[in-house]
Amino acid sequence: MSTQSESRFELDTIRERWEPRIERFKRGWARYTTHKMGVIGLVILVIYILWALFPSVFAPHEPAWKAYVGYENTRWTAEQSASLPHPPAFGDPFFAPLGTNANGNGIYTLLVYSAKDALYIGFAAGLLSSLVGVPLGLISGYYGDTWIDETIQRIVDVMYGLPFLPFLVVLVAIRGVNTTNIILGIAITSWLNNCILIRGETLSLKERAYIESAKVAGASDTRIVFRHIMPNVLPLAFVFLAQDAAIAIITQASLAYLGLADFTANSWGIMIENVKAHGYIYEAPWWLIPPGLAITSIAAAFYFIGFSMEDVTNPQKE
Amino acid sequence: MTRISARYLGKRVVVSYITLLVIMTLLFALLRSMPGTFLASMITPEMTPEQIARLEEVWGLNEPLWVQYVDFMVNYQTGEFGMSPTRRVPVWDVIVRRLPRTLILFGAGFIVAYIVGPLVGMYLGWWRGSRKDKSIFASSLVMYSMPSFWVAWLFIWLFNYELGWLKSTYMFTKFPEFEWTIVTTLTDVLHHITLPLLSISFVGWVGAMLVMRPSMNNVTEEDYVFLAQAKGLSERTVMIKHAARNALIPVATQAIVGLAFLIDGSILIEQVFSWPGIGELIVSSVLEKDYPIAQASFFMLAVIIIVMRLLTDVVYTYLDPRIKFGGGQ
Amino acid sequence: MPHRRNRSNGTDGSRRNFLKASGAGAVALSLAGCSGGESEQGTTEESGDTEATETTEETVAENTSDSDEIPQGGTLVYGMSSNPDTSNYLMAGSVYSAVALDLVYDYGVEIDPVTYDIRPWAFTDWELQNEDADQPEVVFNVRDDLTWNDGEDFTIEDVIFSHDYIIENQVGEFSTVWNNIESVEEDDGDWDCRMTLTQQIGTWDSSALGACPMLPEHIWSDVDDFENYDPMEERENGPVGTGPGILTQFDPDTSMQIQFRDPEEYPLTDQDWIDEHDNLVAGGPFLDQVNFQVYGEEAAMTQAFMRGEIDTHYGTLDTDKIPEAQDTDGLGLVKGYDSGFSYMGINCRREPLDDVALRQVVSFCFDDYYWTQELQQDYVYEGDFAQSPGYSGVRPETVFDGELLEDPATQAFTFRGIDESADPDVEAMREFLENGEVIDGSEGTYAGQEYPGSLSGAEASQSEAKYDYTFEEAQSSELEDYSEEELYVDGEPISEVMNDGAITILMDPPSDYPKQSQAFERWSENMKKVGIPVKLEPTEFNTMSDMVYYDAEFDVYEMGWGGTGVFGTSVRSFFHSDFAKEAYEEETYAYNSTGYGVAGGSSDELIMDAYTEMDPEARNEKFATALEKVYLDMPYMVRDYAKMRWPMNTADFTGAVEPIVDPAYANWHWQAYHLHQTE
Repeated sequence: MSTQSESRFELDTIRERWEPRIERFKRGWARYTTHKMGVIGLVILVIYILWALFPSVFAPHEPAWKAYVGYENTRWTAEQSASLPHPPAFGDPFFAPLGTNANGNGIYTLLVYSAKDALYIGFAAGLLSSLVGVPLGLISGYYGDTWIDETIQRIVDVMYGLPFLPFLVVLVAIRGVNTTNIILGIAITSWLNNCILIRGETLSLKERAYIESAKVAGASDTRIVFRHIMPNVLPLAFVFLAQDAAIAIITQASLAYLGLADFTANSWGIMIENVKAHGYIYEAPWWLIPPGLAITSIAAAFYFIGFSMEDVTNPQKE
Repeated sequence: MTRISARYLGKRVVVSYITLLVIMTLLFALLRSMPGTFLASMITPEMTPEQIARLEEVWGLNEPLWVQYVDFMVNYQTGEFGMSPTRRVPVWDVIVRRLPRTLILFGAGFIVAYIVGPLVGMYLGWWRGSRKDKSIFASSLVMYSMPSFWVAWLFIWLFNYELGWLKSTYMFTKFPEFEWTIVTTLTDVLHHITLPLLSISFVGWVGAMLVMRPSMNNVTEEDYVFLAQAKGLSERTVMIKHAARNALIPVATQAIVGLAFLIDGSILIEQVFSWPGIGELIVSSVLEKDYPIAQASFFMLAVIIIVMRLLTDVVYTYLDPRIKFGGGQ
Repeated sequence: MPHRRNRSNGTDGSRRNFLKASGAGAVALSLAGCSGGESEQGTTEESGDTEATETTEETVAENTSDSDEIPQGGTLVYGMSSNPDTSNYLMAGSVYSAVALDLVYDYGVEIDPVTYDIRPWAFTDWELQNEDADQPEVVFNVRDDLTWNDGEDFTIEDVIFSHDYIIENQVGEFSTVWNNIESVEEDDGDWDCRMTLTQQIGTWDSSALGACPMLPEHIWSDVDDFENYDPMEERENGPVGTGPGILTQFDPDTSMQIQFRDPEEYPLTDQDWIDEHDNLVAGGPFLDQVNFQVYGEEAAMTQAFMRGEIDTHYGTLDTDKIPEAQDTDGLGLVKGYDSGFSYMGINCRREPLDDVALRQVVSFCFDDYYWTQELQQDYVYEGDFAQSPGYSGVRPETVFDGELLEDPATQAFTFRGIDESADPDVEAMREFLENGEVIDGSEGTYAGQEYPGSLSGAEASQSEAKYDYTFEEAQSSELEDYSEEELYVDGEPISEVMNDGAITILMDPPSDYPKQSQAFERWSENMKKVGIPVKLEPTEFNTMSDMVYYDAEFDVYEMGWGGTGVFGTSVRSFFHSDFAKEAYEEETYAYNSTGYGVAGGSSDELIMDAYTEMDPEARNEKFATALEKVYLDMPYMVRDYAKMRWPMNTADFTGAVEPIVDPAYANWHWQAYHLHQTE
């Protein structure tokens, strides 16, 4: 009996403790849904997540499918292979709603199967660089003009002195071209943005009167940083997380353009690169435009969500 | 500017210099840890060991790594960049030829981005939440999300292939049929630079806008803005003279980020438009393992970035009266 | 060509131009990427099948035009997708510099682009003396009517100086000169000059007389440090040579310009042998100038040609654009042969790849039809011997009366598919291995296909397999989904014999060569179906060439050679043990990457016998035999020879000589002497 009541008690406290948070979340959600942009972003993201999870539901074929021959290991005739890349076809002679590339793979199929790669790179690189950049920026800004700030800023300076893309090219050349190295490389360079901007914001904030008064009241450094400053920079940090995810996806495409990508994976960046490698930039719009739009839309979705969240978490604005 | 003392400036310059040295060290280590050397492409099978040794000596590869490092650091202090093994010419010649082209494209891109960006940001921030703000903001985010080289291809397709209005390669007409006068040179460069510039700034300006907009929005709630409004100054005056000046502070910090962003953009854009600058050089030299060229191009970009960083720090301090750096009083 | 230039410029799309001076005597070899490669190489014609034979049998078009009737003038615009390096001829390593500079400089002799005879150029006649001595001598006479493009007269002193200068400074790009020539002096007797060779060289006429560019003494005698000499800085019109071209503009990032001298000033193209030649026209060049434009991207350059911004470009037209170019009025394609081949090199040092039998099976698995017909749409020839069909004089089927490229003896290692399908005949290949068979040159049926026996009588180094092969339970994870059984070598699974648990194939990054990577994927799938675990490893060109030529650390790699020897001499550099890593004390660049001759078979004797043979006919026969033995031993699996389709704005320019080898580069100077405005 006693244990039961105890656990009920615990349950109550948990509910008590969580209720306001749930409430707050509900209110936040309600606010979020008023942002048309945010909702659009979320819808796009959900679509891509579904693509990533259940590609076979959305795509008409598997990536191994080839025009004319399907999954058979038979040979193309000369006319058949000369007709590739094939513009969109709906059943005659085969079904490929966005046409095919020069290898005979369906563009739409590849598009669906590549969503996973983009999401993975976006989330992984975005999270990594936020986790490093935001705390360092806070610390650096709060201890502005001390040795701590100096050290962090010097590291940042050095990293900034190396142009991002070529630096990535060198890193990837040393470590080998694969998705993990590309994500690491992107994270190594993109935390800087977060750090430097959060620092600037913190520098400004800490000169404000209310921080001064908290100091006078005897609040510890940690308390001031996390209670008083962090809530004010958090909206920015959310924006950066989303921004980093978007930047990571675009960067991956840029690397692919420079010929550095894991070509065993399916990705939108590689699809664009292949248009160039096969020399069809100006001849096969059905091949060039969809992957570019996919990258644009997923990056935009991340931005949309990030900026809408900023408004939600920071209601004083507007 | 009185808030910045000579001592502070001096300190910043020294720190920047040390930063450069650290970057060079890092660079040396990174480039040497790539597999393979350029020597393989220069040696022929019937060369005797002495001849190979001579080659190694000429290219400084037989020295222990630390000696090579010291040579590299010392030579760079005196502006001695060495010879390029793949191009067979002094590295400096290549850099001097290419750097101005990069600076022109990239400088123009920077200026366009940092005029358009803050202006739009100011406008959107001031009218935050309005219908106009929402739609312009959303569409600029879409622009910001586009891969720049892809946009460049679309531009070339439209403005060059379809309409034939603008050039898609080089900075000047090669072997022109007209005389080079000031007017023809200018129009010719404009003819060539418009598309790459458009491609760079199409994406680039949004970065500045993104920072200006919330910053502008923040200052609208500051006392001095209310005060200025209370004084009966026109909205325009308040927006530009009082609010915008203060809102620009974070933009100055962001500029350093934007700079890196634009350099990346220009690397891709230079390639698409056959614009032979440093960006195109740096990637190809890394892939060809032409260390002398790679080192020098990284070095030049690092110098640009560090100098700009120094300047933004100064501008930053100048713009924000609340920040005081060491010994400024 | 004996003298035409070397190497460099390794990144995307331009691998073919990574050429290299071979000290190996005859030629400037070029190390190239997949010469059948996509954007730059390869070709198309709607009806592929007929085309293959059509080109091979085609003879060079007769040309009897009278030079007086040919219109003089015009500016040809030549595009390139990479930068030239320097205007200093002794330092220039890039082919993109060479296309301009080759028009400025002349050599002692020229190789006839059609018949491959050695023809007089700056030297009028010559003779070999003391041919049995260790260091034979060549005497020759020098033309007395040539002038330098700065107006000075060309003299015998200049000839002697040129050789001395390059020998003394051991100019790297011209190692052929100081490897083959001991000295050149003024002759005491009836001849102008006497040249002493360093050793006996069968191809002394092209390899020694044609090795050295003519340098003006009045310019170069003042240059102490040739490595840092910049001719454009010294003079307005840069380099001084006896050639018809003057380099008037040199901006290596974007453009170059060659203006031609008044034809009156240039007697070399007016020689009798050219006038009497069925295919060549005397009196060129007919153009006023050539403008070279550098593009940043291959695609941009191709577009520029299709849109008429340039008249021609380096290499061959992008395969995918060929049908469009053929349908467009005013655009044409000049046919030509590959100056080399693309191949896969197999490391003969590594067990069990040191067994000819296994190497032959690896070759059976490569689907030639998929590569040549489906992917390349018949714009490459299927490969066999390590000698371009463009230089067919030493190919076994030419020497021994077979049909060029079509003779059944050249088809010993074609893809073993079930009934012409793309499915590999796994059973036949396994049986071949289990029975310990080798295609050793004798007639028979091997892995389901007949072989008529070797043309030259050459025999493989082995007549039966070196190891005992069986197929048992698969151990390698690479084989999952492909085969339940794995190849066991002497009772041990091959995945445990090989270092990485599989045969690793180094290939170009798919980003640069997407079609090629498809072919390689198919190849690796087929091998896995047989039970041979394989891994594909995309590797950047420079990294790969280090691994292959410097360290010899690889199982299988793919690359190509361009600019190989006309007379078969390249075989020595590729396959003689003297050129393998093992022959050098120091860590160095070794041409014989596969280690053939050191391990896994050898043709050393046949090769050296051919190399030192002074009689041309006997020499060809000997080289052909060596080539066929190498073919059977399979250190190189020659994948293809490109069919060059050199784009040309035929609305404005005609007169190209075709089909000859590599019209855009190796024989570009000949084209430059022939092209003229369309009337």
